[in-house]
Amino acid sequence: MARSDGGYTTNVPLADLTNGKAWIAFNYGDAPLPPEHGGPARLLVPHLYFWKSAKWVRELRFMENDTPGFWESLGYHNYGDPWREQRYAGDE
Amino acid sequence: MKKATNQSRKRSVAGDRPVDSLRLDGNAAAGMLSEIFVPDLTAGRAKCAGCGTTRSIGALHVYSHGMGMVVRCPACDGVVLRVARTPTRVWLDARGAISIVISGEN
Amino acid sequence: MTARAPATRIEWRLTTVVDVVPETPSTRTLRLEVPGWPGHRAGQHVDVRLTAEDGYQAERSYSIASAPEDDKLALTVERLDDGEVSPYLTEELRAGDKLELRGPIGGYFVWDVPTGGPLFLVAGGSGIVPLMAMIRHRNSSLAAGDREARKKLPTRLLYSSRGWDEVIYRAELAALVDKDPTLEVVHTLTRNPPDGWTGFHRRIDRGMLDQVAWPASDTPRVFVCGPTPLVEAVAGTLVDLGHQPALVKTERFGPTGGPT
Repeated sequence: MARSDGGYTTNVPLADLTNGKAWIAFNYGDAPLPPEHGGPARLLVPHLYFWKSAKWVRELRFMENDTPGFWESLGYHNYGDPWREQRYAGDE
Repeated sequence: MKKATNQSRKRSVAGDRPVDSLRLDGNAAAGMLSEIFVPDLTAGRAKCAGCGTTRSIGALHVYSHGMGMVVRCPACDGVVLRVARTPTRVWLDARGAISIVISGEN
Repeated sequence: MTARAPATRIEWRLTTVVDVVPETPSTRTLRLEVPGWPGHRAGQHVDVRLTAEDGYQAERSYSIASAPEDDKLALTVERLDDGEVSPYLTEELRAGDKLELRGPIGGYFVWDVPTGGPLFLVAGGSGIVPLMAMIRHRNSSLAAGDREARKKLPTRLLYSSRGWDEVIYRAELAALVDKDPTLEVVHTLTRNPPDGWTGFHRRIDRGMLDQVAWPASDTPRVFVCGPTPLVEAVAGTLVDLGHQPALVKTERFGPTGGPT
């Protein structure tokens, strides 16, 4: 579970973060990542829908069991694979 | 791993954060809320579960994300309401409001 | 008299554009025919929805510019260069076209004559729109000859614009002020003023508010509308000057100063 400034959370399976599939970004070009783009640090998970790439990330908590995050508990898909158009809860 | 604390509740002073210029008033959520409630909710008053202050919902702070709207308490910045819309449903999480009072038309 | 519709679910409806009136180089007023319009209160807004051929939809909120007494519904839209919706509304829409909208929406940022005054309105840029609805409502609702009623509702507008050419409703405001000594309009321009300009020539600040606003002891009803930074600065300063927060109502338009 990634927790961001402002209390936003998003859940991502560990397998989707490892082996080069995801980044914690803190620079853009030569400069620190600006706040509008999620700086000082944001999660980048390019293969999943954009709300999984949490801005202003403060904490990554490793959990034994999956729990839906902020938007996932409010109608958005729990996993969010764009190739399968998993935007909303109930989309297959 | 650091234990989850109330860290996310402690906010920097208004004006510091990048989202501040995007802040709107409760009014901005009125349209989406009208898909759930018939009377206008923004004229009603909500008691914040975070700090206990009561104020008009129209006076709460709204952050619109494209995904949905987050309605926060101006005093403690706690989330009072969350609203999101999918093609078939409107979702409302009101756990941040202890109570909502709407007066009848006089 | 304002119509109060019974509470029913606000639904999307198709309206017809009657005409598109230029106000300033970057703003247009859309006058609409809305079958079955239930009436509205000054300060309320509508949501407008555009649907592209591929089904993509974009929704934006626009304040109602017309008074409840007016026969056509009017929305004044500012064209934003990087906007998704405003370029279509200000440049493509023609008389006879259809526009989907729902409303009226909002019960917090509203003012009717029975609410009373004195009334202090502060506008930044396109934030003038809902406040103009209030001014128009006041004017229509109070009979021209009823000076006593008008004296009980003295109204002052402080209106910040970039330049004189960008002042929306400029001529109409001047005409109203001319006829009605109980209505005052104070302009401030933040960029190049016209030659001979003797008015304020800077962003709204504490000194200006101290000078222009009704004293807090008069307990005026205050409405502030415009870009978020302006609204927050003005509302905060008014509270510092002693106005009760509950009497200072705000409608922030976000960073760009208007819906896109």
